[in-house]
Order: sequence, then structure tokens, then C-alpha cells
Amino acid sequence: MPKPLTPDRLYTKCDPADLPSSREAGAAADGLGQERALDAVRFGVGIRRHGYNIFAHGAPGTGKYPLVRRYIEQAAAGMPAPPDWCYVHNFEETHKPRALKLPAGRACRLRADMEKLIRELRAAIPAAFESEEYQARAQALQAEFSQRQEAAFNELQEHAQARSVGLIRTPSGLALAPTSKGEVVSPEAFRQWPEETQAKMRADIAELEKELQEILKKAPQWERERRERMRGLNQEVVSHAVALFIEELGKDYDDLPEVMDYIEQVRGDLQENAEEFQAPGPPAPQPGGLPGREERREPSFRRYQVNVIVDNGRRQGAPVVYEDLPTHGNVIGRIEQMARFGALTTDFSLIKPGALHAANGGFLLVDARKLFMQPIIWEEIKRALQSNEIRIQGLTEALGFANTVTLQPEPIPLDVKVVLLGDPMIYYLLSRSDPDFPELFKVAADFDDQVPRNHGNTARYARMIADTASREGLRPLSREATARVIERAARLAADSERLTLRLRAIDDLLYEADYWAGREGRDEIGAGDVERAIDAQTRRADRVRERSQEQILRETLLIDTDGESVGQVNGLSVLQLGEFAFGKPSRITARVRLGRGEVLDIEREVEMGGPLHSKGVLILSGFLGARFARRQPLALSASLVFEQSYGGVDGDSASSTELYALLSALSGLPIRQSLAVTGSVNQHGQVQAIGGVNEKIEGFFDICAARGLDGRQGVLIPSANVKHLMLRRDVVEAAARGDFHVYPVETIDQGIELLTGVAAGVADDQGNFPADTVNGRAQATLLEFARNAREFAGGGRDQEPRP
Amino acid sequence: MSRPAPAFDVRRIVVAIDGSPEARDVLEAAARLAARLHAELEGVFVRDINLVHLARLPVGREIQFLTGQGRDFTAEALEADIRTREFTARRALAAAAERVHVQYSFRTAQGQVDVEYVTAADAGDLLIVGSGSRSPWGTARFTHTAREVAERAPRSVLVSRPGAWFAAGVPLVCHDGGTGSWRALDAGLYFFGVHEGRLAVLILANDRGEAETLRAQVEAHLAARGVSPRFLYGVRPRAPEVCRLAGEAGAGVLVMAADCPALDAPRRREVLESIACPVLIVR
Repeated sequence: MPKPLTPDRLYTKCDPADLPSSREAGAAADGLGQERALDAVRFGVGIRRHGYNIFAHGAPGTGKYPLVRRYIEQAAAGMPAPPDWCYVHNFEETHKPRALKLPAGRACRLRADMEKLIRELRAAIPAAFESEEYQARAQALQAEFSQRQEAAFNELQEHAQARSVGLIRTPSGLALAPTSKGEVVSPEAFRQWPEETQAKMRADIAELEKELQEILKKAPQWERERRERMRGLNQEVVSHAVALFIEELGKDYDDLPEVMDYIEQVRGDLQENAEEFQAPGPPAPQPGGLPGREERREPSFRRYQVNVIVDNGRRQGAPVVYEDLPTHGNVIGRIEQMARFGALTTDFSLIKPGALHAANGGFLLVDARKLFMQPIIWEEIKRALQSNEIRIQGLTEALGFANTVTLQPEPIPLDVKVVLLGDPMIYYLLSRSDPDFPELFKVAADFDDQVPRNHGNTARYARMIADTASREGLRPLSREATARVIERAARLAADSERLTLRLRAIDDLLYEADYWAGREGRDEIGAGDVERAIDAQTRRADRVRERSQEQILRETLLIDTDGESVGQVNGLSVLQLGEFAFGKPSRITARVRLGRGEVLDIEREVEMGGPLHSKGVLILSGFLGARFARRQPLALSASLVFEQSYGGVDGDSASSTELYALLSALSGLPIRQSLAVTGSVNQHGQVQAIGGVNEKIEGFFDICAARGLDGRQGVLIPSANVKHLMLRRDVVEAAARGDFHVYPVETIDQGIELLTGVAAGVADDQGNFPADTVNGRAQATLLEFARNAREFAGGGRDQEPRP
Repeated sequence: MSRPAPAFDVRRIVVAIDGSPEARDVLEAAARLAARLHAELEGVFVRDINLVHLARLPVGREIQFLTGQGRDFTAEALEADIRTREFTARRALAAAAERVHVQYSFRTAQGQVDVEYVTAADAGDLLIVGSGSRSPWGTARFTHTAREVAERAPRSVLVSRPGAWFAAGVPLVCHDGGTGSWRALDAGLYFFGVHEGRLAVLILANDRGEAETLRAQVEAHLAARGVSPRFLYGVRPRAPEVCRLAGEAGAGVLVMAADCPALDAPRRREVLESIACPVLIVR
């Protein structure tokens, strides 16, 4: 019969003497246990090939982000700063803003230079237009055309007067009519004229009409000619004013052909649109708040602005950008719009960069979960990575909904390493579901959530704790406190031989221990502070556990912790509420009767049992059949139930418990209710490891302790789970006093002996068990069932079934 | 500061309106001036007898600016157009006058337009005429009518090119020392006061010495009225020079006497054609 575990097996202590205190901590212990993941990151950063982006995946709280970021920042520091980018007006295709690349730091200078150029030209060009020389030439030009027009009209008027025809202004044009002494001849007088005179007048008017029409036809041509010559004069004036400034500007950029080309385009546009620089008149009042003349003119200068998209002027090394809110606009960039008098307008100056622009030439870190919470952005990132360029477009265009005219900024070449950080589930889901994903994220950095608890790792863990305390400005930890944190790390790993790498929980523990140390006025975190922090964490989270235990203690939920019952065993389950888990005893009962070899899982029948639980129950049939019904049918019908369970049940950790209940029911031997059981079982009767062993033991211990420990209470656990034990101090202390026991069992026979106090019994060569053993009694019952079954089926008693 | 001179007492302002879009500006300017001087406003609309005759003539042809095409000029179309313009003119006058709470009346005359305006001017103390048209090229120009009225009206006339009625600026009075010029000086003060405390005087002289003398006289004359003017000088100036000086002074209105020897009729006509602000010809 198994012996109870000694206290040292229930909790594997960390010896403070082996640890440095945080005051003595030396080298950093970054990346403890994450060598595989960091090797992958190192490889991903180093390889400069298409598609070698990185997906860092691991359980939440394993410190992926700080580790990856720290490593990548170190790598980026040794890389060259990428170039600047800016958008400028495209003078040939205005809706396609042009992207300009400049060496780091020069985009802002170009912007300042262009602003200065326009500022100076706004003074210089009007001055040129106001010069006496220009005014004189403009007036001369104007006069020339006025004279030409007047001359044509005067000539016409002379012709008309010579024929006694007047040129009269009408509401919509000019009319030709016979006149006398400057007045139009009255119709009555006209009718008095001889026929020949009237006919001649008609002919004269017809001829003059043609002449007038010719003049009017020429009018637009003259006006166009006047405008063109005026324009030529303006360009000549502006060209002279502009040349000096443009040449000055060009000197600073003659090493950049694209920029020089842009500057030349600016020069051409300035000359082409010289009139816009003329000093505006006073703004004309407009009804309804519409823009005055001045307001309408002002935006035209926007096209000479330089919209700096990326400025790497002050950057040392390559950029490392973490995008906290990876919306479409924040990652790809966006084209903003401006409301002007009720209409939305945009231009290249309203193009805003996204995280891809900022990270171009470096690294972009994005939380995968946040990324997939945003619409369309995943597709856009993939497209950018596939095409190696950033193409800014609005969300509606990206979705194909837009049909309004908008900007199409020139795409910017992209050279970025995207690092996604997320849960393994997202990684595997993408690997399976998205054919592009393996092509674009070829490097998986798999972050572990545990590390073996050996001497070296324990020391590194201690250093890591010290690093955290130092980095976060916490009080240093004493050796004892560090040891207690390490022990807690083992408990969080649910394994006495491993330490958790879910460092967020450890960090939280340190913050809280520091808080308690501060409250006590200590300058060092002691073990007591760590213990208090753990207790406080538990206390904050265990309201539900308390209620659950209360229900048992008030016997609303029936759990016996003493006495004996047939077919009734205390099972143990674990409830997980967020980060907090606790064990809860459950009464499992079994009833047997004559039947067809079925073990009825009531949980499954009412659809409250999960598939793993059902599998465990089916295994029991296999075990019973193999052990007791090798030569006769298993004429058994058994029902198993988790009493008072109102939620679902899953997992196979109760299968051994159920088998004990069945054996008890078959043998008629009562089970000790002072014991609780956990462990799964296979068809050979071997008890197998389960999860949550610590919580389960503590859950039953709490009930027993509340009712009073009497030295007979305890829990049967699979032997394979002994290495996982990191029990609470009070459980260990009770075990040390002999008030509570934890029994490791390897087989069902070991467990049933502990539970019944009766030998399990070993079958002889014929498969018969001794009659006074548990198995013997169970066998006898099953034999009786088989016999009865045959009788019911019409068979006689002349042939005795054999076991 | 404005101090009406006793020589002027404007009770009625006659405004020539033709129902054209440009006439709205003329009416606005007239209504403001009438309100300022507490005068009554009388609108005169003229049915152009030449057009009436033309419409009834069997040989009348109109060539449209818009299309350059000729068409018969019919009496029906003309009548409809005149009625529309008359209605528009009446309504615009009422709107402008009521806006500044000025008494107004409207009448229609038929005849030669310039003759009717000149006749109408006699019924008031000031005639305001819009030049009323743009050339086939779209440029604003003084019409024959405006020129004729400006020259022949028996009373003071205020004229302007289209679009120049609301030029804000200082009144600029042309002064050559003649009787009319002194009257123009008082008229400038009476009609327009000073703009932001300023009045400008353009001394038109034959030489520097004469200019200095005139300046001293004008200074003394205006000092008595509490006005300290800014002086500009033109030695036998031609029209472009006058226009340039007016531009430099930021003139909101140019005031000149009808009998100003330094700006005789041909020069005055040239000034009217070129200047960018309204002109008051004082009689």
C-alpha cells in the first residue's frame, strides 16, 4: 500500500543560500529559456531576403514584446539611418503627388527652403509687377489693343456715318439704323423715302452688318492675343525675378537629380502662373460667407509646399516602430480631407504617413491580436510586403467602394521587417488558413512558457528578478524573497521541476511585494512581502472559491470528509476563473445492476459531459471487461454521476475516481470519505497524470481543515504528478504534522486498497480473484449478474458460467 | 470730420438707372449719399427713342455680342425688354432707398437718353450716372451717354466706370486756383467729408512757385474748416498723370470743377475713361 508523501516531496524549496540577492545581481539574464525564440529573431533580423518577416508567438505574459524590442533595437542601432521621404505636387498629373527621396535630414531642409522661396517670391514678384517699367509696358500693351479695337470701331462708324447709318447700343448688342442728325430716323419718315433710297439703305446696312460681324469675330482673337502678350510679359518679368532664387535653391540640391527635376518644374509653374503672385486687392465682400477674392487666392501657393512624410534627420540607426493602434490609416497612411465652405477637398499636403513609412528601412512591431481586430489592414500589410511598396489609399478605395476622384500618391519603395507578436493560436490559424502567411512570415520565433528548474537556470532566474527590480525602480529583494519568488514561479509553472516564463505574473508579484515592503517602511523586499503579495493576489481573486467552499461547509453541496459509503468517492476538479484557479471536491457516485455491459455516463446523457470525460468513462468499460469478463458476458449496467454538478464536466482526471466508485458498488465495500481522489486511468488500471494537482489537493484540504483535520484525511494522486507538487505552506505543514496526507498511486489496485482498507486481490492463472478481496467481491457480483442474465434470456442453471 | 459748406444744400439727388446689373451699384452709391446728405432720391428711367424707332424700322438689324449674329430688331421684343428693365430699375431703387431709409420717387421718360438725363438733372441738385456698359470685349468703358451727360448736365454730376463705385479711399480734389476749384474744394468736403481724417488736394499748377502759392491758400482755406489736407502736385498734368496720382493717393473719389482750366473737356474726358474711382464734376 502506498505511503503518504513526506513534506519535502510536497514542496520543492529554493535554497536562498544558493542565490545572489538583487543587490548583488550582476549580468543581465535577458532571454532566459527563450534561446530558441531569440535565435529565430536573430536569424530573422539578419537575413535580408523577401518574405523573412518574423512572427513571435508564445503564451501571453512570456515577455515577447520587451525581449524582441530590446533585441531589435540593439540590432537597429548598428544599421544605417534610412532616407527621408516627402510628397510634392505633381505639376504634370496633379492627382498623382510625387514622392521624393532625400538623404536623411534633407527633406525638412527642402521644406524650409521651399517655404523661404515662396515667401521671398511673394515679395519679389509683386514688386516686379509694381515696377514702373512693368506698369509702363503693361499700359502700352493695353493701349495698343484698345487702340486697335477703337480704330476698328471708329472705321466702322465712319463708314456708317458716310452712309447715314448709326451704330446704336441695344440691350444685347449693337444695331445699325438709318440716322439723321444723330437720331434714328422715325419709321414714318423712313417710309417717305423713295424706294431706291430705302433699297440703298438696306444694302448699306447689310454691308455694314457684315463689317461689324467681322469686327466682332476678331474681338475674341484680339482679346486672346492681348492676354497672351500680357502673359508673355508677366512671364518675362517673373522669370527674371524667379531665376535668382531658383538658382540659389538649386545649388543645395544639385547632387539629387530628382529634386533638381522637381525644382525645375517649380520654376516652370511659377512662370506659368505668375499672375497669382500679383498683390491681391482688398477682399470683396461676398454674400453668404463665401470666400472673398483673397481667400480664394491663398491656397494656390500650397502646391509649392513640401510634405515631409519621413524625417530621419535626427535618427541614429534604423527605426524601430511599435504601432499600438494598427488601423488602416495608422499603418498604411491616409489622405486627409479639409472642409472648405461645405465641400471636402484634399491635396498632397494632406497625405499623412503611417507606421510603415516611419519604419521603412527598419522594423515594424505589431501586436497580431490588435491587428486582426482592425478591418482590412492585414490584407494591406500583405500587399505592401508582397509588392515592396507603400501605396496610400483610403479605406473606401481599399475596399473598392470609392468612386470619387481622389489622390493617387506615388508609391514609396518599402524595405521593412515586420514583426508580429501574438498567441500561438493566431500563428497556427494563419499558417493553416492564409496561403500568403507562410510566404511572408517565414521566421517563427516560438517563445516558451517554462524553463527547467536546475541550478543554472535558478541562478539566472534570480538575476532576472534582480534586473526587473532594478529596471522598474523597485526595492532590491533579499535572497529569501528571491527564493520565494522562484518557488512561486515553479508553482505558476505547475511543476516543481520547472519555472514559469510568463513573466508578467512574476513582474506583477514583484510590484506588489515592493508595495507591501514600502508600506512597512522597508528598503528591501523580504520573503514576507512576497508571501503577503501572493496572499493578497489570492484574496482578491478567491471570492468564488470562498462561496464554493461555503456551500460545502454549509452542506448545501454534499461532500463527506469522514465515514464510509459504498459506491461514493470524493473526486476533485479545477475551476479556472481568469488567471485564478482553484480545486473543488465533487461527490461521484456509482450504481450497478443487471444489464448489457454498459457503463452509463449520466453527464454525457444530459450533454453536460465533454468528450474527454466520455472517453474516460468508456475506458472503464474496457477495464472492467478485461479484468472481470474474459469468459462470460459483462452483464452489468452501471451509472456514474457527478452529484450536484450544475455546469459542464470535461477532462479524464475523474476516471480513476469513477472506477473506484464502480468497484465499491460492485464489491459492496465502502469507500473512506476522508480521502479524495484524482487521476485518469487506462484500460490496464494504471493511474495517469492529470493537471491542476496542486489546486485539487488544496481544494480538498481547505474543506477538511475547515471541518477539522483528524489525521485520516488526504488525497490520492497519480504518482506521475508528484513532480508537479508545489503545495501551499499550510498544506505542507499539515502533512508534516501528520494531519493530512498525499498518497501517490500508480494503479487502481493501490488506490482501492487505500480507499477501502481491503486488499485489491490478485487474479490467479484462471483469472479468479480471492473471494475476500475487492476484486474478488466485484467478480462475484458480476458473475451473479451474468448468471441472472442467462436465466432471463431463457437459459438453465445446468451450465455454470466460469469467471 | 465733415462740415457742410453753406454753398451746397442738396435736397434731391437724381439717379439715372437703366435696369442693367451695373445700375445696382449706382443705386447703392446714390442711396448712401442721399442718406448721408438727408436728401431725397429720384430715379429716372429713359425709354430710348432711338431703340423705339429702330424696332419699328423695316431695316433695323441687331448684331448680338454673344453670338456675333445679326437678327431683326422687333418692336415686341424691344417692348418686353424695356418693360423688364423698367420694372427691375423701379424695384432696385425701392430696395436701395428703403435700406437706408431715404425718400424716393421713380419716373420714366422717353426720348434721347442723354437729353433726358440732362433734363432730369435740372430737377435735382446732383445727378448720378452710371456709365452703364461694357465693351464687346468685356472691358468697362464710359459710354457716349455718360460722356455727354457729364459734359452737358446743368448740375453737379457724379459718374463712375462700372465696378468702381465702392472704391474706399480719401477724397481727392483737383485745384487749380480758379473759382470752380474753390467750389470743388467745398463740394468735396460737403459731399464726402474726410476719409479717416484725411482729404487730399491735387494742386494743378504751371510751375512750382504757383503750386506753393496755391498750397498755402488751400491750407488756409481748409484750416478754417478744421481740415489738414495731404497735397499732391501736377504741373500741367496730362490725364494719365492725374490717374496715376489718384492711384498713389488712394483716392476714393476724384472731385473736379466743370470749369477747371487745368483739366479742360478733352482732358477731363480722358480722365473719365481711365480713372479707377468715381468722379464728381462740380457745377
